[in-house]
Amino acid sequence: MTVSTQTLLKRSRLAASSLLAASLLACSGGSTIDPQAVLAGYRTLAHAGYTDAYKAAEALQAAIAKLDASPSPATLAAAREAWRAARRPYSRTEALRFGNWFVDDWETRVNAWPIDEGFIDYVADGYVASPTNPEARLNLIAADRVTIGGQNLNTEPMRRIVLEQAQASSNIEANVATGYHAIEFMLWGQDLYGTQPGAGERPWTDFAHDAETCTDGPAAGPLRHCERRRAFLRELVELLRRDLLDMAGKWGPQSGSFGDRLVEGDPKVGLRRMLFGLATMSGDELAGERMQVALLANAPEDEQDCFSDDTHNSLLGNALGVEAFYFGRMGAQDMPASLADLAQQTDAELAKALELAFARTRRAMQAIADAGDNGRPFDTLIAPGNDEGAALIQAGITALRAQTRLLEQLGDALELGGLNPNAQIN
Amino acid sequence: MRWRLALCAALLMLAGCERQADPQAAPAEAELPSKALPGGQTSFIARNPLTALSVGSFSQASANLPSSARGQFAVGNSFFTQPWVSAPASTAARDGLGPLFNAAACQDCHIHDGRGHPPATPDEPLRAAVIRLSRADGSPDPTYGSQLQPMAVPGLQPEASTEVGWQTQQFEFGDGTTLELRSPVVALRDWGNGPPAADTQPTLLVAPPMIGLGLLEAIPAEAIAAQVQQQDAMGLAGRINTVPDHRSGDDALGRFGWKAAQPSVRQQSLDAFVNDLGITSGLFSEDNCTPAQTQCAALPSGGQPELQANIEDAVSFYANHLAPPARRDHDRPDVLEGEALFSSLGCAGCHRPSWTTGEHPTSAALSNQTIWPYTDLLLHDMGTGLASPLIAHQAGPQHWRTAPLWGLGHTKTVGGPHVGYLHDGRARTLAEAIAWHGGEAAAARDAWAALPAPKRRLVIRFLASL
Repeated sequence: MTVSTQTLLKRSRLAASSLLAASLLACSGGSTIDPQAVLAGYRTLAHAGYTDAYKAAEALQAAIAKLDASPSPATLAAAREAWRAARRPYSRTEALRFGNWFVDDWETRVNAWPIDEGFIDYVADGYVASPTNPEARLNLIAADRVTIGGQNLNTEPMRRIVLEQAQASSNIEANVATGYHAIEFMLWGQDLYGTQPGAGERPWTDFAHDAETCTDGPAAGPLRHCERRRAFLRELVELLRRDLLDMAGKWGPQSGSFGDRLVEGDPKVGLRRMLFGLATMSGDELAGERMQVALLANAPEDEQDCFSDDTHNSLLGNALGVEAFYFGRMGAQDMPASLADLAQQTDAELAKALELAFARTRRAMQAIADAGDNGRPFDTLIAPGNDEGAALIQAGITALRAQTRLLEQLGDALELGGLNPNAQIN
Repeated sequence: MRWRLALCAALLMLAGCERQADPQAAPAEAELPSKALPGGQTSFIARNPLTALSVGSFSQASANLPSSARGQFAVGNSFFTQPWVSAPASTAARDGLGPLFNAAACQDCHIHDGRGHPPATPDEPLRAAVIRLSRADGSPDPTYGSQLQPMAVPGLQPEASTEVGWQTQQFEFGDGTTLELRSPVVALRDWGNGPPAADTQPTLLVAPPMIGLGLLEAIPAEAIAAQVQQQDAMGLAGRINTVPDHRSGDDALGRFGWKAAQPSVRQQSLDAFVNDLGITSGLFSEDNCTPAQTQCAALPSGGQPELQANIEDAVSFYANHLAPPARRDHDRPDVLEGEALFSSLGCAGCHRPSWTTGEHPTSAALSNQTIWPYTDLLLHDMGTGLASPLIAHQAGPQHWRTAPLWGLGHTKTVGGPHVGYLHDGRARTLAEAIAWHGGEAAAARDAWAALPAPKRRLVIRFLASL
């Protein structure tokens, strides 16, 4: 058995890094956590997270290919299951969205919501969309040619570029034609149950191969619609797969990647970006936009995964993602240095408070997820008058807000000069 | 292998100690001069260094807002952006739209938190602008009130249909070249409750950008008023608008809106809620139906008031904390030359470059900031070219508030190609906007128009850097 030079080099680097830790200990009197190592762990986990999301999107693509080839109740159910499975790893990566402009810019391609779904396909009579959205009933599936925001688009055949243009041409954010939620709508259809239990019930016959079977939901549909739905789904999932691969690459270890530049840049700026991102995801996006807004509005339109009623799992994934990037642990991967270690070294009391806060958030978010898995999905929890549901969500919001304040305190303890989005520039 | 490991270790130890000695030095952000950060510490520096201009340039929270306050900003953003629906609906918090309305969401007109625009074609419905109605004495129309609502909930006829056309005229520069200017011609038909009063006239207004409003609110009122005397000495006739503050019941200094008719961000927002969306609030509890519009008043309400107090707070917080973007190219020679011309031509007499905010009553982030909005917040007589029948307290037909210029260069990136400048979006370019300046601004405008074309362009270059 020969050992390659490559392997030897790797081994020597490994040995060297443990020596590095020892040397730091030696020359700084007990201070062992290198901020750059914390950033390196963040980058490694980010790369792993998007790689997981990419693999799950590949599995979703395989399931959609089966649905495409032979539509049936079973292939549709399997595609839905694959979509749910694909959301798990993605929802954890959302902790990276803030503090990293290239993620936030890209995010609207893969995760835009809420959707005025009449933009994409047929809708039921009671469909409510903005009266000022001229494209709220555009129905991309039924139209070969459309005009969006003054732009004429030929949508036959359905091509990836057309989906990208359809979304980009509209000034209205609810006109979504790419990403997880467009796929979700194609697999589930509208959730007509409001704040009652029950998700979308698109029939498999919406994808049928023959004119006798093809439907537009409850009504018979022209075969062309079924063909275009299948084509739309194929393009949607291919676009998603490519986007995730692209984002995984941006966090790769290669020199010059966005992730690498974060690690190699000013560590103070890097840590500020990291902490700003985790605090923003906790307080602004998750506690605010995704939970507080829905609770205030009592509207199913305000739940993110509204067609599948899988919102509870996305919310849990979002919270677990923030936790993972704070502790430097995701699944089996355990980073040698993390923000938690840095907190421990800087202010042990604050580190303990953060640990408790994350545990509290995890319990609160798990309770929401458990309710969802036991017949009480998020849209029933936000129903007007559901005090018990409101209390469950409020507990999550309260825990996330406490966590946000402590992350802010950690920024102060590390003397990062305030968590500030302008720190993103480097 | 052993010697190699040892060497690595020794080298790394050196590197390690060096790193520890100077662990994280100074932040990499360059020190920018004050004028490059128009909103002071609230300014948002483009998040994508590759594209300084972005559709999201006006949609960012004050950069110095603590993370713990950003949740409130997010809630406000959602209610600013998502459409409201007509009552009754399953969503108690988001219902109450209409019965008569102009838009279903704030964002419909404040496109990406920026400006609205007049219809792109004469038959396009009014989507990102409003039409005010006023009689010869400045009073509202007896049947349709002070603002036309061309949309209505199902079952109710809208107040009228609109058609916005244009008439053109030529503007001549000192060098003999000309520029085509356009001004709107508004036609109203299909009146829902019969014809309006014989002397009722329309004024087209586009939505202004949302950035920096809380900072403008934090400028001390005395400092604004003090300029009236100073300007008098300069031959300008800036005047303050004294307007009712409905919350305190007292008179207050008007700061917001094209005519400075509103004293605070909150009152301006609630005025827009009731007039533009048909949503009542604690401050404006009556829907915008006049006594003549009985069918309108009889339709179901979305609650009393329709805008819940906690959501009012969130939207108000949001409207106060949208950050002006950092400037680009502030130190380029052509921009600096344009800036010097802007001052020497007299533009800066009304477009006052800089202010220092006082203590904001509720927001530390907005307090004590050196800001560069380029406005004196005063009313000026802008001449007959821009005059409209609209009268608002001390603002007569020819009076308009000096518009803030911060973020000007982002206008079309944020709002799209149909977005223009001035109160009705008539100016398609910055040059057209300057050319329309008359009245007190005529001298500065003429001085600019007398310059050779390359010099005129330097002023535009400066404006585009804001």
